[in-house]
Amino acid sequence: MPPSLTSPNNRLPTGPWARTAVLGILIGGLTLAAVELGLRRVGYEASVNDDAQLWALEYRDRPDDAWLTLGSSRIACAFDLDTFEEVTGEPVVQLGISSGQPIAILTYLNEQGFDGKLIVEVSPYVWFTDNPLIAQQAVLTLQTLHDQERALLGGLERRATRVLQSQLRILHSETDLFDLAKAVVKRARPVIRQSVRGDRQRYCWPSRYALMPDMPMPDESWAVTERAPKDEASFDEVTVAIQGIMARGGTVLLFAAPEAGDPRDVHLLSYPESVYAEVLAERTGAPYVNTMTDPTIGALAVPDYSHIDASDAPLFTERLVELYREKGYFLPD
Amino acid sequence: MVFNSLTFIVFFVVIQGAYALLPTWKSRKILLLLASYFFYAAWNPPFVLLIILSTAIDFVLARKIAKSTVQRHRRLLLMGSLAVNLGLLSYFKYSPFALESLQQALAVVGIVWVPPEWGIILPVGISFYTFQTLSYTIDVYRGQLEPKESLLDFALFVTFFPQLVAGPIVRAVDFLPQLAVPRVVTSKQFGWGLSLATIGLFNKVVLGDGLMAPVVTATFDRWALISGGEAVLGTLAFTAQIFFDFSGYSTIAIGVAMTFGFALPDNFHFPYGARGFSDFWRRWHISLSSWLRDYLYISLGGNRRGDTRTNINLMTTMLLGGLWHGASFRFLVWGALHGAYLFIERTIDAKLGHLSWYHTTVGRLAGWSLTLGATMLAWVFFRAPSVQGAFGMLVSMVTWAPGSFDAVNSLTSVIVVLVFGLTVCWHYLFRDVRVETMAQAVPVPLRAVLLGAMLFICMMAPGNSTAFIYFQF
Repeated sequence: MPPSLTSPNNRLPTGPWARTAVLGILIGGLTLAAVELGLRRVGYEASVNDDAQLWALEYRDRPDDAWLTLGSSRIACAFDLDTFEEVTGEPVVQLGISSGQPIAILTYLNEQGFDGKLIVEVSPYVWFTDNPLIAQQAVLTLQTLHDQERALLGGLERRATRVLQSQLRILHSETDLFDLAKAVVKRARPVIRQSVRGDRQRYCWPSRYALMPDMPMPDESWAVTERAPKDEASFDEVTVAIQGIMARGGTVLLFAAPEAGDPRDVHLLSYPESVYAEVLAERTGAPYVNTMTDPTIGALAVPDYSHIDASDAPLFTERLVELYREKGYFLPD
Repeated sequence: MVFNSLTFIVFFVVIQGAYALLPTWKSRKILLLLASYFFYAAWNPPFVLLIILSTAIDFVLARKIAKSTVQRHRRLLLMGSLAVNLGLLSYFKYSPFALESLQQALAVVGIVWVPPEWGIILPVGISFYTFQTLSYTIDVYRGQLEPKESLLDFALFVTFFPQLVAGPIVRAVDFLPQLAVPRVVTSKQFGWGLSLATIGLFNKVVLGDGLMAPVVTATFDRWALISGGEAVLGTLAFTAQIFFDFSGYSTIAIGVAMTFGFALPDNFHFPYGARGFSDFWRRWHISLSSWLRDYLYISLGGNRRGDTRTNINLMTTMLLGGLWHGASFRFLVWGALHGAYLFIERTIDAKLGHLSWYHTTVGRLAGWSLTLGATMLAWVFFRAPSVQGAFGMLVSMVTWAPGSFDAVNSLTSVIVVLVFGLTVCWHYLFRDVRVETMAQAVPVPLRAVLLGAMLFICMMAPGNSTAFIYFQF
């Protein structure tokens, strides 16, 4: 069998390809620089991508004494880390998962012997849904964590990426060429959908919805009128995980985030407090706060019916801490 | 480490710099070998040992095979190589599937058995480098190749980083001669290599990940909720995505290898322009299909033992080809479909091949459309989360189900149809043209602008870029 190829010369097209490549890189690089400057001029800031890699880094780098926030996109939108740290004087790390069911994370923490402090947002139809896509999200996130821990560079490359992303807006995944093109065509400044700031996971991706006025309901799946059968296995798994963490001396605080419209109806009809949240609190002994019943938080706008406006997050967080103080937590020294 | 990452750019620049500075050919080869191990270890360090083991075993066994004059002894050594390589592949890739299948089979007869949790992690690219080392040993056994004296050269052949994890599957007969003499990289080679890498990156990041992947995920992962139209759209999107993703990887691999002075074989040649399935497999994943042809189909007897045996050989080859992609019934069905397509094509060719209309423009267009349609149907099984999901998608399409979930908006639908349509028309029109010929037809000033635009769009592409689909195989 004779060699079918021995030299790349066999397949070279004619033309000055060295100059072409250099010129191409220059054109690409200069255009990127111009767009970066343009983006900054219209108000975009450099910020890190809120993805599973960032989640894994945040988890791995967490201070031992930090509070961890766990839940869905709602806690990511509603919980302001700076306000919490300012009011309580304690560090906090945001570990909410957008569009994800956090059971696998909670179980993982328990299996790892976690005995720290958790603030857990419980949206029963996220926690106890039978939608495999939502359940899969946490599994994929944990998979990313394992991959990062196992990799030779041990997350070094992700740390470097985070540094670059925190400096260059063009590296943000939500900087969308289509949006920019539309803004140019309409001769209008693009809507700044700033969801993550700087180099820290502060607000998660869905908060951009909260900044969109008059957002229509995404689909009709909310229009549930019948109560779904309770998934006892998932409920037990959550209970066991919380009990395990608390038995080791850990602290777990539960709360329900504000909601409105159909999502609130679904919550009340299909996942009543008396069957889910209150039972969970009773079985585990973890204090539970339904923020919707609080007049201050209950008055906050919920533009997309599921997430409060990100600009209300400091107020929400301050009030949540006050509500926990009433239960004996975060008391001033 | 994946090509579409900032880490790879840094890695590439550092290795290129060191490669240019090193004075001797041997030191450059050592650099490439160490870089290749590092490239692989960046994902999971312990699995480098697996590659080293596979390399050492085939290096030693091939030399023993060449030295031995006793046929029985030679065959035994070959069996040893096959057993080790395929054993490792089977353990990592197929044992969970085998246990699960056994569990299901036992459940049918009423025996409840829970298989042990082995927690096996599939080493990236194991199917690729296993086939590569196997081809070397088999070639030596067949007397078509002299065993390599240099372990360094052989190890670099097995691990050369541009193609280590997702091909093209390189034959020893093609690659080892390139290691015998120092590679001289001209500036033109370097420039064309970078241009190819940019084109491949654009295919992967922008067309595959940016435009097609979100639609594929939104439809295939929600197969029970979507409408018939969305099922069709998802299939169009995956047909385009799998091409852009995999051919993108191959193009980057070929381009990066070229910047170091190495030639890798072509892996794709406008596959969606194929007229017939034999033609398709001469254009799609060429390095795998030619490997299966040379080492499996021909070993089974090829077409030398009559029609029935030929068809059985074709089916066996395609079934195993399907299984090579992954341990799942979906891939078995995908392979079986392609086996059946090849059988049907042979039958039709035999019955209608002599008719004049068969070779007219209309006949050729009909052949192209049927090939494309059947290929897309098979892709449904390849991508769906399960065989049940694949049938669900197909039923949705056939019954034009209304759906209960808006998975794709109208602008995205237009983009998918447009990109898919342009891609398949492009493939058909340029099916006999080489990419190099097309590149040199572009006016010189426009080439740099196009490359610059591709690089810019790659950096600005919406959505999250992900690992290449074929990494999982």
